[in-house]
Amino acid sequence: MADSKFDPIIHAPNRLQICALLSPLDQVEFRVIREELGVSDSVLSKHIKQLEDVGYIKQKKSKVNGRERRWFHLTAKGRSAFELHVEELKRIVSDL
Amino acid sequence: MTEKKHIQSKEAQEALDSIKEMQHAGIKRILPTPRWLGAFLGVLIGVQIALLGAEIRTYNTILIILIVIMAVAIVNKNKSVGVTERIMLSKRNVIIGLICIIPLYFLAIISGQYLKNHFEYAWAPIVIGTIITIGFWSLIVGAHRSYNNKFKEDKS
Repeated sequence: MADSKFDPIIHAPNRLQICALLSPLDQVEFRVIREELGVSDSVLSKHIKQLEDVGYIKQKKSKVNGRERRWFHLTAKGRSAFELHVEELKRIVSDL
Repeated sequence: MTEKKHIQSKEAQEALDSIKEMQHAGIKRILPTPRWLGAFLGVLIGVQIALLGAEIRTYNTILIILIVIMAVAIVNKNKSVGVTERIMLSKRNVIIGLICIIPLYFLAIISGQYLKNHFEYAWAPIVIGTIITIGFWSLIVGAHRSYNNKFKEDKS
């Protein structure tokens, strides 16, 4: 676990799921992430903020029918960190 | 140590399973362009090219409006479900693609006009329009197949 590829910020279950959900897509709306994770707005916001703080995800705001929508995407840094983390998980599994 | 490693491996496997599941859920949210929408857009473009090739400009404005509406509907389709597809093409490739498609569009119209005026092939614009429609339809069907394959791969 001491390997630098293992990312403790990503590894937390909810954050791992957020990154996994964002990874095959371009942008995902807040409500979709919330629905897929099955968590409350506040819990999701907390995890998103942690990922934003380290520069792994970014958000864009748009207005649809007067309602503000928040869209999230993985940054290049976040995508790279996520891919390395997945590689590391695979390595751990294959080392068994 | 073995116990610790075993737990770590188990945890890693669970994390990998969870990743797979979420990626699958994300891909499932992307809806490919409905075939009927693609077919309708293809027919509109084909009809426009055929009519312009035959030098009939009466319906051009309404056709352009309909094409723009359909294109906007396709672009906004995924936005309405809360996800947008990741396009693997670079901006450069998209620009190159557009540079190729736009002259092709005008070439189709000019070819129709040329064949009709110089060789009196009145059917030429219709044939060219039909070819463009079929080509567009094939692209949509190809995109559907690619989506289905990706989805099946991900599921397996």
